Amino acid sequence: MKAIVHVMLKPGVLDPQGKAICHALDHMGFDGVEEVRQGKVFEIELKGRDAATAKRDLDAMCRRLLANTVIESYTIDVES
Amino acid sequence: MKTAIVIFPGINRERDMARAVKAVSGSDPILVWHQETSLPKCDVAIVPGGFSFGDYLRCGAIAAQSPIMADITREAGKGLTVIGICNGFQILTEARLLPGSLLRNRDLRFLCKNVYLRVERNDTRFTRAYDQGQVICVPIAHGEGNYFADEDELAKLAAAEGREFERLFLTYMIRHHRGAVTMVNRLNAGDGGQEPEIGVFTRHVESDQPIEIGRMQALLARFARRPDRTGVRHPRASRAAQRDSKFAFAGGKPRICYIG
Repeated sequence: MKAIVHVMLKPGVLDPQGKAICHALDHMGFDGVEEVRQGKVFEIELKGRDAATAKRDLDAMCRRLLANTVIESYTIDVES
Repeated sequence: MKTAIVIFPGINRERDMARAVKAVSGSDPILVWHQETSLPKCDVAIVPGGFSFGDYLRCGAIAAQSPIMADITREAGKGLTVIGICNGFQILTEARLLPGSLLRNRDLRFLCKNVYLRVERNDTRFTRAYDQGQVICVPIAHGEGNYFADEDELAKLAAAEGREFERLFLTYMIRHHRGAVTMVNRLNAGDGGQEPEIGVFTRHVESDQPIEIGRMQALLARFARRPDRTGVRHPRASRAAQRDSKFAFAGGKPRICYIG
């Protein structure tokens, strides 16, 4: 069972890396790039769980390690 | 004073810390590896700086899940003094022992320089060897030292301690009363106070103000002896008035500073 976890900075949290990327894209000639925010993607292979248990475990993984919930939010997609 | 210095893979400032501890306390600290499940008996636990776990995932994130952290959290809850410096501070925020989070520096530059901090409070365990208002020089070296806390956390930090409001109030009120005594002395020295109403007023100032000043000084001395009570708000001041008064007295918004 494979899960994809996306972790993004919460709105309002400063993202200087995203800004730097945005400026670079602008310098490269890509017009109209208004904003860039950088996040993380985790691909997690799980075994020995049903989908419901997997989601619950992944949620705990996110809250405890993969995301800093002070500044980041996350989404979990489980592929059967 | 017994000191424990906690080490994680990638921490690199433990030797500086050990030298500092020995110089200040006279005793050698105990070095504790992150895989231990309990701290030795100690008075203070220090998490020094470096790049624990290579700063992978987020600075301090993986270290915060190390076996030793459960005991540090437990002992901190019982009153153990814990101090985190630089990566150590990042680890303590990730472990939720301290509020807020350290983001990437705003201009994406690694900052390596001395910064000058003003001691706003010297009634804490960490600052009581300083004078109130003393300016200290602290070196920083970090790429992720941009402290961030959401509105709720900032409000809690800034509204900090009704005791601090009371202390500031008394300090400034003493100065204010002393100012009145000074003014009366100058008035009398300059042959003023001849008008009856002014004469009565100055005599009241001369007799009452020193009593008020004495009472406030006694209160300040009592506060200095009592342990720091966090989270207690002044019972009579509304939150807004408390904040406004502190801003007026302190000359600006209290800044959250850290040693990083």
